[in-house]
Amino acid sequence: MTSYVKRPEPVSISRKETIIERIIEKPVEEKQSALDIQALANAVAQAINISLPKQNNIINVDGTINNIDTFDESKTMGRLAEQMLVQRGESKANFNDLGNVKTTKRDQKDIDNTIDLISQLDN
Amino acid sequence: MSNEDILDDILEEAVDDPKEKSKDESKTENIKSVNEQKIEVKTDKIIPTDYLAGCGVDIGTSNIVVARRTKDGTFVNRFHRNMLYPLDISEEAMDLLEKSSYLYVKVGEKYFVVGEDALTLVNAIGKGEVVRPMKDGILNPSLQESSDLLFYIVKAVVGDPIVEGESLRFSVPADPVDSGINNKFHEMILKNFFDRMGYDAKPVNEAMCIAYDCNPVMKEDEGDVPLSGITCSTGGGMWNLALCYKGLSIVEFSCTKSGDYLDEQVATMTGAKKSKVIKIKEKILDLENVDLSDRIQAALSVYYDEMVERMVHHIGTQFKDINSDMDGEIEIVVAGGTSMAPGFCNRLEKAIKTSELPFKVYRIRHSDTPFYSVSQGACIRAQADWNKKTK
Repeated sequence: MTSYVKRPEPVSISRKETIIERIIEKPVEEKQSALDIQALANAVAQAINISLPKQNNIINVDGTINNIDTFDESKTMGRLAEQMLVQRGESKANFNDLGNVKTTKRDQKDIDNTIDLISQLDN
Repeated sequence: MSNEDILDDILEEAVDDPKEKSKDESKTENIKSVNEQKIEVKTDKIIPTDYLAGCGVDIGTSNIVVARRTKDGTFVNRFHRNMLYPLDISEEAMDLLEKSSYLYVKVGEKYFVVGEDALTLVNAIGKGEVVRPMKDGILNPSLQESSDLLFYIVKAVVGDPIVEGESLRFSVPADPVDSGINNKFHEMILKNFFDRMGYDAKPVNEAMCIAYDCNPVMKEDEGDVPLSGITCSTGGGMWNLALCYKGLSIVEFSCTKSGDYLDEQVATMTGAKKSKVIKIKEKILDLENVDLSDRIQAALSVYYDEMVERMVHHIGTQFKDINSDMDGEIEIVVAGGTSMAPGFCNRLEKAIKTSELPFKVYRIRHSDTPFYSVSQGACIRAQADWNKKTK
């Protein structure tokens, strides 16, 4: 089952904010409709080269406070995906392989250069 | 027309080569890059088997494409139309399947004819609609059998790993700007598929695959910066966009209003069947020379314009404020099946010229292999993983 989460309409995301989000892996929910104190604090902290603990709430522009659920859902998703792969009824296919084949020829040196460059990336 | 006549007609129709249309895009030459290398694309009867370890899979809403690379640098792409035609179990259906060479999956009380045959069959019968195991870039939640069906299809297209724990990268969309779809579950399902098959599988952003395959270059005063620029993958369910710098993704997002959305809107507005719209879009439509006497082509043209304008609008809003940090001139590289309509890049170029973007664009390049760029990029990423793993 795919779950749907209602998100606010998008507005602009600045590069600084995005990079910071990527580095600290902060959840991004609600960022468009709220003033994200944590992101600002982190931006300042990064600028002066210190680290701050994460906070789990954001203050909306109307002054109300939203809590961010920081629980890691990936385990649940993994378990759910595992369960979805269990065959529940009879099923069969009349084929073992599918598809048509096309080949493309590239400059091997260019590809090797790209592989060398992206081998240095972490993820 | 009897079933047999229909079958004869259908069986005579060869599977279309999605590359052929792209090769005819002479009108878009002016905006393509000055390609230093000419890339050959051909159909091989004999499939090379001396593959390097590392497999790339483009799991798209419309197509599944798997790329492997041989030791001499050739990419071998296997592609399959990710489409199904459901038939309830009946004598007529059994008869049709027995007399034909259709490939099908039977799940519970239903048969699903798979691939290109699904489209030809629905066009010939003129009844029902094709369904897809995926929708908007993820598993189709309205099709109960979607994971069963996709598993059979993926297994048959991808095949077994060539070495134990072979690295594999499969493309996943970024979070969409126009929907609250959660991609995580879809990603987990696919990772489970591939792990069960014996691969060491990881996801890779779809637009970033285009960067790995096409190497966009940013022009700075100090010189060219490789793997830097904007890449865009226009698929059936979504278009995906990324801004990257030296191979690192800076911003990525997607939008669900892509090829399928066009088909649905045009079908609704014109009253035509979606399968007919798809046929016209893929076989007849030329965005440089639209036959306005044809209501379907005229409507497709309008919705293609809307698509590129929406794309440029979101580039402008999502990448706002970037200009302060990125002084270089940017290259935009476009790939994906929906970009293969002749004239697509020209329309994008026009939309970009008439908009205010927070950076300079020095050229828009259409991938030389638009249909295969995502799978090839994923393959390159997987080979980098394998090299790292075995060092």
